[in-house]
Amino acid sequence: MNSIFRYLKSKLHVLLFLFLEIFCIIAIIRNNSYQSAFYFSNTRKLSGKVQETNHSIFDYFDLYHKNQALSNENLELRRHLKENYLIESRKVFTVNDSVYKQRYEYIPAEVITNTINQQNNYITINRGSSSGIEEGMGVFCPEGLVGTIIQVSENYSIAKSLLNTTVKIAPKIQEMNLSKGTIHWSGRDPNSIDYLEVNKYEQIKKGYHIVSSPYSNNLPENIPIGTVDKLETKSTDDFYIIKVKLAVNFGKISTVYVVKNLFKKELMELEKKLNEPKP
Amino acid sequence: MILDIAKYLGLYALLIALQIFVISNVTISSNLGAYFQPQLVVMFLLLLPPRMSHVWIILVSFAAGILLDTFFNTMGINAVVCTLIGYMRHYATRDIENEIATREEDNKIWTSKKGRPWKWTYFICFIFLYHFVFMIIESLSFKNFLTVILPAALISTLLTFVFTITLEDLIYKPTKS
Repeated sequence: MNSIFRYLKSKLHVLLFLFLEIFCIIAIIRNNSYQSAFYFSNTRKLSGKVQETNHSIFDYFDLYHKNQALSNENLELRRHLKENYLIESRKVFTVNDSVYKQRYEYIPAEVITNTINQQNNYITINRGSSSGIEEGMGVFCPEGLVGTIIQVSENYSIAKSLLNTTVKIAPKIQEMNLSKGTIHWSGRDPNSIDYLEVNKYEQIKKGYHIVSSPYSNNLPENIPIGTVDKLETKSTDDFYIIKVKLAVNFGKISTVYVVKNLFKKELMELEKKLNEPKP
Repeated sequence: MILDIAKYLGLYALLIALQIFVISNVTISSNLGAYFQPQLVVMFLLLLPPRMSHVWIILVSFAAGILLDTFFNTMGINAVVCTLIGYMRHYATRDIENEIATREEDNKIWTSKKGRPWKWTYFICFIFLYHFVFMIIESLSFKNFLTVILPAALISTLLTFVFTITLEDLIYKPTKS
């Protein structure tokens, strides 16, 4: 033991030098935008390749779950088929094409990296600006809502998952058709999320479904988020403390869809006009 | 001892002041900005006492660089190069340290027993190393290597070197040696 210390002491200057240099390089990367862009664009290219290889190997082991999720989704979609419904008024369906205009487009993507054990979790997917992905787009998987895109490079993009303490999403309670409150992750349990700011006089029950609200520009309505798991009230507080069990098992997501709102540009322009000073 | 420390701090303050008030203003107002970037702080690193321990030289160099970075808002770039110089200059001045010299003058680069050729080589090598590494880290590409980086490093080295020997003449009169 003593000889180790003696050796380290004799090499103190080298260790100190290396330590300070590493410290400086980290400082450069963190604080200088040009150097950090250089570093991240090059390392992301490399890490993207490595992770993709890794993903392509381990992808096979999860095929069973993927199949199941897809077939469930198929079933769900089949339920919505036009043939399942009785046509009451022929008139509506004959003008079908001009009444319904496509609002959302979906871009399928594979998850290549994913974390669930940090305070702010991110997901990298193998599609980027070359596939038409932009910042702010919503991401969901067959089981439910996953997150929103925050960074896009040419072939990859990074999404903030719901398991991120900075995420705030406006939800809707499906059974009551009520859009209220916000969804926020406390950073502890990757299977549950907090539903805040709901007045305790609302008649919420355990098992109600929480879905995405109709007021978002980035997500279609009714994408599942989870089910109400625990309801608590405090006499001192006007709001419920609601724990929502997430619909998505974030440890297992592999195929996701990115939502493209075809009217987003139009909507944004409209909203911009509203904010412009009137002549 | 305390007087010496004060002298070195004064030198550092002088160099930083020159860098901020004179050189950066000249660089901004002239069109030669890219080629004219002498970094005077390197002198401070090169003039630290040869008998100072290696660890202390590295620490002081790092502190000098970080302080310079805070003035020029280039977090870490100067510190990285200063630490490198501080680490490497020990190997050049090591034999001064090893000489059994009791003379106080030997603990200063300018008045040490080393002759003028050694001193000049020492200055030029390290000043060039500083500017070269600094510019490489700043630009992070070899695209303009022959047209900008190398000429800029050479010009800045020359300017800093001329400044160094001028300062030597001003501070240490030839009669002393």
